[in-house]
Amino acid sequence: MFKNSLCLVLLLSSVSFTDILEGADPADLVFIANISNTIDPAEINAEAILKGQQRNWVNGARIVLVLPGKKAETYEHVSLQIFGETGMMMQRRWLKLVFSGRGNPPKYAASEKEIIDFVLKTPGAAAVIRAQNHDSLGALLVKAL
Amino acid sequence: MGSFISKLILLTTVISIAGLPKAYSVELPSDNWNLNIFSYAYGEYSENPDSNGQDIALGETAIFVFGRLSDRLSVLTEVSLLPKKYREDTVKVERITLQLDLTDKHRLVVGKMHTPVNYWNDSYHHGRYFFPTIDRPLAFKLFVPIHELGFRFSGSQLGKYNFFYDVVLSSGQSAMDRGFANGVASKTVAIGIKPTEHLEIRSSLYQDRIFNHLQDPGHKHPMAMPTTGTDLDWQLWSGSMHFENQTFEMLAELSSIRSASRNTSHSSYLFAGWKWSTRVNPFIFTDLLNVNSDETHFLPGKRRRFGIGIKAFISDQLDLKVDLSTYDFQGAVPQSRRSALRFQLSIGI
Repeated sequence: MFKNSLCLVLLLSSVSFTDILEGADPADLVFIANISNTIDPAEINAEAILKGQQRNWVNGARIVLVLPGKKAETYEHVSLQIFGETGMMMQRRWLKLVFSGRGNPPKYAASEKEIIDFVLKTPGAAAVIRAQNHDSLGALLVKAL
Repeated sequence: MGSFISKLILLTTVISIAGLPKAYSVELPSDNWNLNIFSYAYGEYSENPDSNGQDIALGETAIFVFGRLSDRLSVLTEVSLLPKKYREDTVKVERITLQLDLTDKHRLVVGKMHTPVNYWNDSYHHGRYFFPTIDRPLAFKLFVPIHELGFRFSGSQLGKYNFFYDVVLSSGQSAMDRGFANGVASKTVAIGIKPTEHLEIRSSLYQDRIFNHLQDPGHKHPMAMPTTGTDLDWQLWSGSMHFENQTFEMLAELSSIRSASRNTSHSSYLFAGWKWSTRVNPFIFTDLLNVNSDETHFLPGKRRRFGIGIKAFISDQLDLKVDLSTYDFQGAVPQSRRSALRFQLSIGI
């Protein structure tokens, strides 16, 4: 049995050893949110929102979080910088949060443009985007991470 | 009550499934509804002459629905399905709760829920996809009250160390799904901290009265003699520590019970996993459960399980866990010991 087990272990070990995490680039992401002026930006804990530890704004309204989906150009970049892991593990982490009843299911967008459009038209929405794309955000709150 | 719950679950599930445009990626007609499906298959190879050598079985399928009814109100249901071959009840409501967000940090949950007595029961529920090891800790077979019908007050993200709490008033293990026929029979208080984003520590106290415990389905001591009065008051203490960063994951689950006897029984589960690569995580675990010889509700004896294994993330939705493990039992009934090479293929979509 031990021989069989060793063979299996070696086989599984070769499933993938290629996509080990590389170090994250310097932070170039910003947190954006479509919130009413009843919320003090200083009270917003962007990290807690992005990691699902907070599901309502301080005024009680629901937080609608948008994360980059698999097709989005920032999928791996955001996962690595915010969660320190791959996009796949980020999605699993969020799935576990929702399954445990602790988090609102996030919406996954196919591109950064879709993320921005969604946040612009959805009160209570929040997301993380690249800092270079925060020029056309209108009245959205923009907060450095 | 049971009929009402079944109808509500059926309605929620049908509404949700009706919106599925494709089977793989679950997208619902409204952003307010979310559906996930978890399932698994299990197999083992054992050289133990008492077993039939090889065994493959289908595990339960959990259908999970989360619905946002308003800014502050949400509904959550988890229903498990299993063919008659494996379980008498083919459909079981595991969870059905209504959650009211009182503030951004405090909540009230009402319904059938998993007790927050330890990290495992409050996090993984019936999703083998999330389990760090193939089995739940041994304590789940005896000590841990998995489900309760009740009211749960919770708070989190409190203070510098992210203190959290849960207070649950519930129907108790004897009531099963029958509601509060016995009033509030059990109480749970759980507290904990998350001093860093990687670490969670919690401790809980659970107290329950099991009515006519010798006839209770949870009674696991066939040789117990009737004691004076057949209702049984018992207490469970649990302690959990979960640590996970980009390299390691560790989970410790400790529990201790005290019932009619003055002596206590204990269990300890320890898991350590190494994130060797993003897709392959080796792990080891030990699981010990010692039921005191004076115990009248649970079968006395020592149970031990330990093993080594690998969790492989085959794709975004598919995991394979393989372990080589040994289980042995020393107690009043015939003793047993077996080693097996086991696997569990789990899916979450």
